Amino acid sequence: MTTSSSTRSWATPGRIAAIIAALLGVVLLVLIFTNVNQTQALFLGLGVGALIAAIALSVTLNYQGSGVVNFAAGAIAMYGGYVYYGLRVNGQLFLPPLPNPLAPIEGIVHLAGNKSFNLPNIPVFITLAHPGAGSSSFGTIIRQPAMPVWLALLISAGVLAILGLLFHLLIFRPLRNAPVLAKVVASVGLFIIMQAIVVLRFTSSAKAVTSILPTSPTHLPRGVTLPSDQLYLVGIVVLVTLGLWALFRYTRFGLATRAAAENEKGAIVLGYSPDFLAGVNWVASTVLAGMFGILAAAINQSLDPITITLLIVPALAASLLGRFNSFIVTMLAGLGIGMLSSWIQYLSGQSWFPKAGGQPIPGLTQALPFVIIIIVLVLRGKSLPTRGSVETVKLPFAPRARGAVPTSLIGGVAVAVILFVTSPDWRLAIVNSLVGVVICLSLVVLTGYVGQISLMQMALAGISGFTLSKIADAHHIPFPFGPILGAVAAVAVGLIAGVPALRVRGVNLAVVTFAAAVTIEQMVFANPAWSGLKGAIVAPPRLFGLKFGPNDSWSKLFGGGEGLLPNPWFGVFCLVVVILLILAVVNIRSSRVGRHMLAVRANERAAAAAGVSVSGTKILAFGVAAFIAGLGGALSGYRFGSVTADYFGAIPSMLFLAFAYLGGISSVSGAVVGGIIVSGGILTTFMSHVLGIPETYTLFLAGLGLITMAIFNPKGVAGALRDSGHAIKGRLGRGTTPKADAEAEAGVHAKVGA
Amino acid sequence: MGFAKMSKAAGAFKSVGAIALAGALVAACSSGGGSSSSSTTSGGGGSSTKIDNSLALKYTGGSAGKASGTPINVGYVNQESGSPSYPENTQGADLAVKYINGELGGIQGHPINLVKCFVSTEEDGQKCGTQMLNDSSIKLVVTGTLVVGNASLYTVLSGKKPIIIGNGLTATDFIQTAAFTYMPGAPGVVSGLAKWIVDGGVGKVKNVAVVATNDAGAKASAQLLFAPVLEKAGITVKQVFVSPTAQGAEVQSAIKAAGGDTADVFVPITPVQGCIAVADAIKSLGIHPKVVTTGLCFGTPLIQHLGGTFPDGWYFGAYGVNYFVPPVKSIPASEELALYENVVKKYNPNMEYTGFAGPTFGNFMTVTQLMNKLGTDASVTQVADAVKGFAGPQWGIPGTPVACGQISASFPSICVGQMGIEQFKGGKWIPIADAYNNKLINAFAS
Repeated sequence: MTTSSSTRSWATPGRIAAIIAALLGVVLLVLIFTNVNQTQALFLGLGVGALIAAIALSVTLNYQGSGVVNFAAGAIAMYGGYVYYGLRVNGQLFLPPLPNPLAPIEGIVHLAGNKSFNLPNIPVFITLAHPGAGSSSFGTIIRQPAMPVWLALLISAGVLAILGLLFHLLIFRPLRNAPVLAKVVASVGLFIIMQAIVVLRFTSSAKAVTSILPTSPTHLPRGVTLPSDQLYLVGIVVLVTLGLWALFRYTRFGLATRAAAENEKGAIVLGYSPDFLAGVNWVASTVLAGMFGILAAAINQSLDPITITLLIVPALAASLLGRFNSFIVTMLAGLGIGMLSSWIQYLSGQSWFPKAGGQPIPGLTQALPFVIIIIVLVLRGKSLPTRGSVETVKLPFAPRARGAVPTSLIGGVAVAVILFVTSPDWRLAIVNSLVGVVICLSLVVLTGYVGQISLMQMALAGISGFTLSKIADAHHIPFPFGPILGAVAAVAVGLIAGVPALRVRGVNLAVVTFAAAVTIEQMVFANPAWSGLKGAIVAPPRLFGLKFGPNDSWSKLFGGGEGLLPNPWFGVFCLVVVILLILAVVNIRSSRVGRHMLAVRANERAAAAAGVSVSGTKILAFGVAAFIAGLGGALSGYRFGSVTADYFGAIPSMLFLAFAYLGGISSVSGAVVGGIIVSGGILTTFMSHVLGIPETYTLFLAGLGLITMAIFNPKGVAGALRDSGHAIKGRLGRGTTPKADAEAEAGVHAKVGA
Repeated sequence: MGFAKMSKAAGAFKSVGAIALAGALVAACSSGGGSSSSSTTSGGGGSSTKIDNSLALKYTGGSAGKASGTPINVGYVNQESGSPSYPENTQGADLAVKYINGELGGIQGHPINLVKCFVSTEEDGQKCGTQMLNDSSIKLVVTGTLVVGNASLYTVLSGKKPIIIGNGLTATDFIQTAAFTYMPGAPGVVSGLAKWIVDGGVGKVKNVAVVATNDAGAKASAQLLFAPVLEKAGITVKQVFVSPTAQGAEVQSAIKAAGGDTADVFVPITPVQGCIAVADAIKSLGIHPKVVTTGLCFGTPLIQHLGGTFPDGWYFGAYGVNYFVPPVKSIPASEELALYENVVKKYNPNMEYTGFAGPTFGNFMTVTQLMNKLGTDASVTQVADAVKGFAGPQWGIPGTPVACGQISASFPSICVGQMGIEQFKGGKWIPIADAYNNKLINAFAS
C-alpha cells in the first residue's frame, strides 16, 4: 500500500473545505432571506454537528497517529461520559471485570464440595467520595452530587489518558503491521468491550446527567433561538480544531506524526519513533473523544450506552470527507452533517415531503452520511489515502479444503443425529449456529477470498428476510421459491453496494458498507411501507405437505409420541442448506474463479496484469456473498417466524464480521467455527449451561476474544487448529506444514491465469 | 463498594490449567449479573412496615400466612441485560412473589416459584418460548416488557400455553390472539388521549404537533391510533419521528420541525429518557407549548432529573390512577396502588417503584387470584380459558370491563379499554379525566 500522492486529484482538503463552506453559505443565505423556520432548523443541528465533529476529530487523530480507523471512537466517548457520571454522581470510579488470581482456588474448593468457601474479590468500584444528603420528593430520593464538576472532569481526563495508553500498548501497537481487517476487527472488539463494561456496571437504563454548560435560550437575529450550550459546544469544538491544526502544522510533534502517517520508514530515518507518536496520539484521541462524550452527556442531560456510541457513523463520514488528515475539513463536515440532518428533519414535517405508509420516508437523516460518502467516492475514488506503514502483513492464508464432501457428509449425519437426540436447548443452539455459519460463509467469500471488508452482510440477509415475509404474505409464493427470491433481492442490493468497491478498498470500504447498513436499516427495514406497522411475519416452510418449521409438531422417530420443540427437521433443513453452501464455497475456492479472487485479494495490479478482471471478480464476489447472506436471512426468518429491523441492523453486521474473523475468515472451517460462536449458538449455550457464565458477560468475553485473536492469531480459531494439526503431522513426519501452506498460497498467483 | 463473586462452574473451567488466566477472568465475570434462566422461591422477610393485607387477601382469594409445600411454577420472561432492558419488571415480579408467598398464602397454600428467562436478543425470545413450552410444570407465562424476542416468544407459545402480557410496547404485543394484557397499554392510552383532545379536553384545538420515537411501538401508536382520530375530527397533525436514541439537540430540532412551539397541543410519544430530552428542549428553546403525553414520562428518572418534581402544566395519560395521588376509599385501584407502595417499603425500599414494576406486581396478584380459583391441578387449557375469560378488575387498574378479545378489533390482546388523564400543576397532581373524578375515558369506544 502506498499513499496517494501520485494520483492526487483536484479535490484537496482546502478545496473541499471551501466547497462545503460555500455550499453552507449559499444555503444559509437563501434560507435566511426566505424562511426563518428553516434557518432555525438548520442552526438547531449545530449541537449534534459539534458532537459529530468532535468524534470525527478523534477518529482523524487516531488515523494520523496509528493508521487505525477507530470504530470504537463513539464508544470511547460514551465510556468517558460514564466515567464522569460515576464520579460526579456517586463518587465512584468503575472498573472493568478483571481476572482474579484467587478464583481458581475458590472454584476448585467449590468443586470439592465446600460451597461456603470464599476468598477476597476484585472490587468493581473504587469509592472516592460519597453523595451528599438526599431529600425525598414524590417517593424519590434526590441526592446531592458526590464530587464537584472540576474534580470529576480532572479525574475523568486522567482515566481516559490511561485508557488511551493501554489501548495503544495492549491492542494497537501489536497490530501495527497487521492487515487492515485485523485493525478493524480489533476496534470492533474494543467497541463491544466498552459497551459491555458500561452495561455490566450501570445497566442499559438511561442515567440523568446534570448540565455543565449554561442552557438558557440565546436569541439570535431574525427570530432564531438556540440553547446556549449548543453555541458553547461549537465554540469548544472550533477551538480544539484550531489547536489540533496548529499542533500538526507548527510543532515538531505534529510534523513528525504527519511524516509518519505518510511514510513510517521515512519518519524512522528522520529519528522519530512511530510507536511513540502513535501512543501519544492514542492518548490524545481517547481524551478528546471521552471529554466530548462528557460534554455530550451533559448537553443531552442523559446518558445511555447507545446514543453517543452510534455517532460514529456520521463521524466516519466527516472523517472521510476530511481525508482522515484535515482537521478543519473534518470539523466543517461534522457541523455540516449535523445541520443538514436537522434541516431534513424539519422538511420531513412538511406536507409535501415524500411519504411511505402514511409517514415521512424514515431514515433520511441517517442516510445522509451514506450519500455524502458516495459523493466523496465518486469525486475522489482512488485518491482516498491509505496510510503508509513499514510493513503490512497479508490476510490469513485461504486453504483449499481437502476431502470436503466426505467430511461434510459425515459431519452432517452426526449433527443430524444430535439434532434428534439432544435436548431442546442444545437443538436450538445448533440451529442458531447453522444460521450463523451461513452468514459467516458469505463473509468468507467476500472478505476471506477477495479481501473486501463488508459491514453490511446482515443488512443483505435482512433484505432477503423482509422480501420473503412480504412476498410470502402478500403474494402467497410458496417454499422454496420465497427464500430463493429473497436471496435474489439480496443479490440485487449487494451488487449495488458492491459498486463502491470498484473504487475503494480496505477500511474505506468498511466505512462505506457500514454506512450502507445503517441506511438500509433505517430507510428500508424501519419503513412501514416495507415492514408494516404490525411487524413482518414469515410463515413456516411447507413442501409437498411436509411441515418442518421450528414450531411445527413432530413425531419421535423411535418410541413414538410427540417430540419437544423446536422441530429437529427444521434443523435438518438448515443443515442441508449449510452443507450445500459449504460445498459450493469449497468449490469456488478450488476453481479458477477462486484463484482469481485470491489473486485480487493479494494484489489487484498484479491480478489485472495476469489477465484477471478485478472489477468482475469483485462484483461476482459481492453477488455470491449477498446470495449466501440472503439465504441466511431467509433461514433466520423461518427460525423466528418473523423478521425485525433490529436483528438485521448495522451493529449485528459488525458483530458477524467479528464472529467470522474470530472463527477464521479465510476458510470454510472458519465459518463453521464462526457459526458456533454466534449469539445463542453452541458456544454461548455451553458457556451458560455448562460453565455457568452469565450471558451478561458473553459480549464482554466476545470482545476480548476478538482483540486477542486479532493480535495473536489472525488466522482465527480454525486456522490455529489447522496449524496445530499440521505441526503434529509434521512431527510425525507426514502432511503439510504452515510453511507449505504459505508456499501453496504463493503458488496461487502463479496459477492465476491457468 | 461492590465485589465480584465467583461460581463453581467457573472454578471447573479454571481447573483446566492451560487456560487458567482466561478461567480467572471468567470467574471474575461470574459476578453481579444474574443468570439468564433461574429459579427462585421466596417467602417472607423484610422490614417492620405493617401492611393491612385484607384488601390483597380479598383480591387474591388466598389465606393469610406463609405458603409452604410444593411450589407452583409460573413462567416469567423479561428483557434484561441488553440494551434496552426493563429490570424494573423483574423487581415488581420478585416483590409480588415475596409478598404473596410470605403473607397471602401463595396459591392455595403453595408458594409461587418464578421460572425466569431473560431476553436480550431475538434468539433469546425463541429460547425462552421453547423453555416455557417444554416445561410441563409451567402452565402459565407472564411477560414483563419485550421489544425484541417477543414475536419469537409468541410464535413458539401461540395457542399452546397461555400468556399474560405485562407492559406491552410494540404492535406485536397487541395483535396477539392467544396472549392477553389486562391493561389498556400504549394503544389504549394513546387512543384515549386523541379522543380527549377531540372532545375538547384542552380547549379548542386546530393543530397538533407530535414528536414520536421511530420504533415500532411509538410509530404504531402515533400513526394507527393517534393521528387518524384527530384527522377525522378535522384537526391537523404534524408528526416528526426521531430515532430512539435521539439526543437533546436532535429532539430540539424535532420539536421545531413538528411545530411544537406554535401548535395548539404538543404531544411527545417517547419513553422516559425522551421525555427528559423534551422537557429540557422546551426550556432551552424558551417555548411554552401545551404538552400532552403518556404515563411513560412520569418515572423516577424524570423526577430525579428535575430535582424532585414534574414538568409544570403537562398532561399525562395513563391507566386512571396515579402513584402520586393519595388513595381514595371508594376507588379500590387507588388503594391497591397504595398497598403496593407499602409492600415496596417493606420488602425492597430501594427499588424503582414507578414505571413497569407496579403493573407487573399487579399481574402476579391477578395470577394468584386465577390460580386460587382453578386449583393447583388445573390443566393448561383450563388456565388458558381462565386467562382469556378473566373479567376483572385487574389489580391497580380502575378500567372496566375486562373483556379479552372484545375491546379492540385491531388489538385483540387488549382486555381493558379505559384510561385516565391527570395534570401536574403548581406542584400538585390534578385529576382531569380519571378514576378520581369518575371520568375515565373509553379509549376504543367509537
